[in-house]
Amino acid sequence: MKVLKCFIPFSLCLLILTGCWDQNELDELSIVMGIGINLDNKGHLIVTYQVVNPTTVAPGLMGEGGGKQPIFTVYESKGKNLMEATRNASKETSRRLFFAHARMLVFSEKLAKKNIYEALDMMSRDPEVRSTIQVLIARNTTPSKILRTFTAIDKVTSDEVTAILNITEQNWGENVQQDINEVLQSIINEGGEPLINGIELTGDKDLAVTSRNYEVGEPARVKLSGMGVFKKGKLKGWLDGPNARGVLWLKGKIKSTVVTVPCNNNKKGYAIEVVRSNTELSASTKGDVPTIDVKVFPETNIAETNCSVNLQDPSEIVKIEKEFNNVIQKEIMKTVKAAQGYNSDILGFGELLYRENPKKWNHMYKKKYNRVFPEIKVQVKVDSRIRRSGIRTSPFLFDKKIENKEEVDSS
Amino acid sequence: MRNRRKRPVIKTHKKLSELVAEKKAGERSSFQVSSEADDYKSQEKQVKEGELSPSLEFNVSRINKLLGNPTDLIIREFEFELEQKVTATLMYLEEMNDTQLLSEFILEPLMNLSSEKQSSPVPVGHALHYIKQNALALGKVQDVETEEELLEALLAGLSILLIEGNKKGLKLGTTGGKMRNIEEPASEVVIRGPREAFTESIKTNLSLIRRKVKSPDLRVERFEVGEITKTDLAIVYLENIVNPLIVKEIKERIEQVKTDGVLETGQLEEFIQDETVTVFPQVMSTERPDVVVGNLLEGRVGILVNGTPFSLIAPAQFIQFFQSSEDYYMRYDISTFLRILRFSVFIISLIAPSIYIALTTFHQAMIPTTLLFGIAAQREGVPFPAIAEALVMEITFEILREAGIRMPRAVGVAVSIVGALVLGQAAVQAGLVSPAMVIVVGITAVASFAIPSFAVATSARLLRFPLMIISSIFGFYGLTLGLIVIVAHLTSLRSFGVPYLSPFAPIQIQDLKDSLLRYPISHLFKRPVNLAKQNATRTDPYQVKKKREEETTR
Repeated sequence: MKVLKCFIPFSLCLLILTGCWDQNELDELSIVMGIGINLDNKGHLIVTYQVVNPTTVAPGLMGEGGGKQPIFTVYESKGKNLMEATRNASKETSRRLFFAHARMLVFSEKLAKKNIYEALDMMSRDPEVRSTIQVLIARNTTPSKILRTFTAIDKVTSDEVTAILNITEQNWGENVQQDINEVLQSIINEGGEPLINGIELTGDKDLAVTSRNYEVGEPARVKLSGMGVFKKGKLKGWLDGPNARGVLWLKGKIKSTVVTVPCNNNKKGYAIEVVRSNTELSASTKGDVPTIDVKVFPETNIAETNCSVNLQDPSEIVKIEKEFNNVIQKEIMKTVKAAQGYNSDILGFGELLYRENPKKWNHMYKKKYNRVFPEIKVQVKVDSRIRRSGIRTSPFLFDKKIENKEEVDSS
Repeated sequence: MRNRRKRPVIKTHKKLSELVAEKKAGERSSFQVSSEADDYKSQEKQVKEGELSPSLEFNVSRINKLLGNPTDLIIREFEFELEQKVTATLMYLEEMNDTQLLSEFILEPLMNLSSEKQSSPVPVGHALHYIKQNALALGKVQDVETEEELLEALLAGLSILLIEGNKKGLKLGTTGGKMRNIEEPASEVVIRGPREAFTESIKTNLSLIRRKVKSPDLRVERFEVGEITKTDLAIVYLENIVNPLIVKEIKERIEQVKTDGVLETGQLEEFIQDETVTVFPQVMSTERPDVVVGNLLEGRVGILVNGTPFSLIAPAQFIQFFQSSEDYYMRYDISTFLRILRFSVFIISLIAPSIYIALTTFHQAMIPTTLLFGIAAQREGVPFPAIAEALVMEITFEILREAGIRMPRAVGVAVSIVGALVLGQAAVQAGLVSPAMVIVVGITAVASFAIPSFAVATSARLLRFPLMIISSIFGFYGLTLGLIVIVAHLTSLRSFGVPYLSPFAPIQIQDLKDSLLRYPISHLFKRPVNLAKQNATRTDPYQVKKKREEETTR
C-alpha cells in the first residue's frame, strides 16, 4: 500500500506534465483532401487546400447539418516556401489543417517548368502527409481551379481524381498512379527522371467552380491528360496517348488495355483486349553504347472483330498475334524515341544499366549520361498470346459469307 | 494521543462499559432472587462446568436459558416404560426438523415401549443405550456428552433426546424443514448439458457430486467456518488425482479463516485468495455440479459452503474463465471457435472505447477516409471531448445495468424503455453524444455479456475506465502501456501457487491443447501439469483399446 500511495502523486504529475500534446478532437480538424501548389509572379508559392466539410459528405447525414453548406471549401495562402504558406493559411482557417487524408497533390505547369524539387521535399518530409498522395500537374489550368471544381459522382474532386487514376490505370493504361513515393524513387534512381500525370479541365470552365456544375447536363469535368516528362526537376514536355502507354509497356505496368490492330484493309480491324502482360528488361554494357533488350509477353483476348476472318483457324490467330506484336513494338519504339528526344530517362534505363554493371556505370556512363541516353539502342521483342475470343468464335460477318458461298456453290 | 484522551467520547464509552457491567450485575442478582436460580446454584456444585447433568429438568432449563427462551424451541416431555416409568424430553427447533419423522420414528416407538416386550428389565441408567439399540428407527443417532455439543447439534437442526437419570443425551438426525428444490442453473445456462444446479443445502450439493462420481477416491472433508454462524463447509477432491500440496494449502487457508460469518462463497473467496489487490478472480465459482466434477477430474479442489448454491473451484487459471462446461459437450471445432470468440469478446469489452478515443483524438490518420468523414460529421456539434463523451456513456450504461439488476420485475420494463432513450437515438438527437459512441458503448456492453464468467467480465468492466483515461492522454501509446501493465500483473498472479496465466506463461505445450483451443477429447489424455503431478495421464483411449485387444487375443 505504501508503494501505491507513493504512486498517486507521481501519476497525477504525469497527467499534468505530459501527454495530450498531439491530441486533437475530430471537430477541431479540417480534413485536407487536396493540395495545390502554384507560383505567383514574384516567385512566391501559392498553396491551395481543398478542405472537406464532413457533414455534407458523411453517409446518412445528408441535409441534417444544414443543406446549403458547400461540400468542400478551398483556402489559399502564400509564402516563400511551402511550410510558410501552410502556417500562413491559419489566418483564414478556423481549424487546424490535417493532411493525413490528402489524396492529391497538384502542381501548376508554371511551377513544374521551374522546379518541383523544393515542393516535393516538404511534402515528403512532413510526417502527416502520406506517401501515397498522388502527384499531378494541372495542364492548361491552375491547381486552384482543379481543386475548386465540383464533380458529379464523387463529391470531392481529389477523391474523384484518384479514383479516375485507379480506373484508367486498370482499363486503359495511358496513365499510371504516381504517388509521391514513386516520384521520389524515380528521381533517386540512377539517371532517372519522374513522369507525372497531367490533369486538365474540360467543358465550361467558368461553370466548374460553381455548385451548379453537377446540376447541369454538360458539366465541366476533370480529365487526365498525358504524362509530363521531367528533366532535372523541370517539366520538359508531355507524352500523350499511345506514347504514354509505351512507358507502361516498358515498365511492365500494363494491367489491362485495348489495342486496335488493323486487318487486311480495314483500319478498324480487331480490338485486342490485353488481360495481363509481363515485361523483361535486360541490358548489355559491351561497348560504348549500351543496348537494352525489351521482351514483352502480353496475354490477350479478341474483344471485337471488324473483319471476316475464321477465328477457329489457328493460323488466323497466329496472324493476328503477329500483327498485334508489330503494333506494340512500334508503340514502344515511338515512346523510346520520344524519351530520347527529351533526353529524359523516364524509362528507368539508368538504373537498369547500373544494376547490370555498377562499375562501368559509375566510371563511364554516369557523368556523360546526357550524351549516352539518346544513343542507347533498344531492341523490342513482343511475344503475345491470344487466349480467347469472347463467347463467340467466328464473327457473324464471316458466317454470312460462308453461307453465301455455299449458296453460290450449290447453284 | 493525549488530546484524544481528554475527549468526552471516551467518557461516554466508559459510561457505556459501566452500564454493561451494571446490567450484568443486575442479572446476577435477579438469578439469586428466583427459586430457579437457587436450584441452579446448588446443582452447579455437583455437575462440572459444561457437562450434562442427570437431572432432566436442570438440563432443559439451562438450555432454555442459554438460548434465551426461544419461541421456536419445542420441548416435548413424555414418558416411556422400561424397568419403570422413565421421563424423557425431546427438544428441537421448529421448522428445522422433519416433524413427521420425529413423531413416526421417535415418539411413536418410544411411547409404545413396554416392559413386557423386554427380555430382561432395563435399568434406567442404561435406558439411553437400550433405546438407541432397540427403539429408534433412525440412521443418524449419536451420543451427546457436553452442553456445548448439545447446543451445537440443536442449532444445526438435529433433535435432542434427553432421558432422566442419564448423563448423556442423544442427537437425532431428523434435519428437515423447507429447502429449495434442485432447479436449473440461473447464471450458467447451457444449451446442451445437465440441467441441475446446486441448491443452498450443502447435503444436497454433496449428493449431486457423489452421484456423478462413483469413485472410492472421492474425498469429502468437512470444516466449520464463521465464529458465530458456524457455517458448514466441505472440500471435495479426488485423492488419486489431486496434488496433495494444493489440498494441504487449501485446508490451511480455510482453517485460518477467522470471521463472524460466511454467508456466501464470495466471502470465503476473499479470505483464501492469494492476492487481494487485483481485479481478477483467482478462484472460480460455479453453481453447476458437472463443472465441479469436471474440475475434480483435472485435479482441482471443490469448496462447498452451506447456504449458497455457488461453489468454489481452486486453483483457477485465467483461461478457465473463458471456458464453458458446454465446450466439452459440443464438438471440438465449434468449441474452439467459441473459445477464441469469447476471448476476443473480452478484449473488445476491455479496450473498444479506448480504441475509439485513441483513434478519434490522436490517430485520425488511421481511420479510413470515408469513415473519418462519418465520424467527424457525427462529432460536429457534440459539445464534449471524446473522453468525456465516452465516460458519460459508459457510466450511464453501468447505471442502467445496476438499475436493471435491482429493479423489481414489474418496474424492469420501465428501465429498458428509459435506458433505450438515454443510450440511444434520443441522446444522439439531443446532441449529447455521437452515434458512433452509442455503437461503441453498445458493442462493449454486448461483448461483456458474452463472457461466460461473470467474475472476469467484471474485471474487464473495471479496467475499461483507466484504459479509457490513459488512451485519452497518450493515445495508442498509452493504451499499449496499459495493456502491458495488465499482462505483467496477470503474469505475477498465482492461484494457490499455480501460475495464473498457465498454460501460456509458463508455457505448457500439452495443456495448450485444452486452453484457447479444444482438441478432440480423445487427444486430451494428459491432465494439467501443475495440478495433477502424481497422476498425470487420463484414461488413455488408445491404451484401453490396446488392453482390450490383448485380452481378446488371449
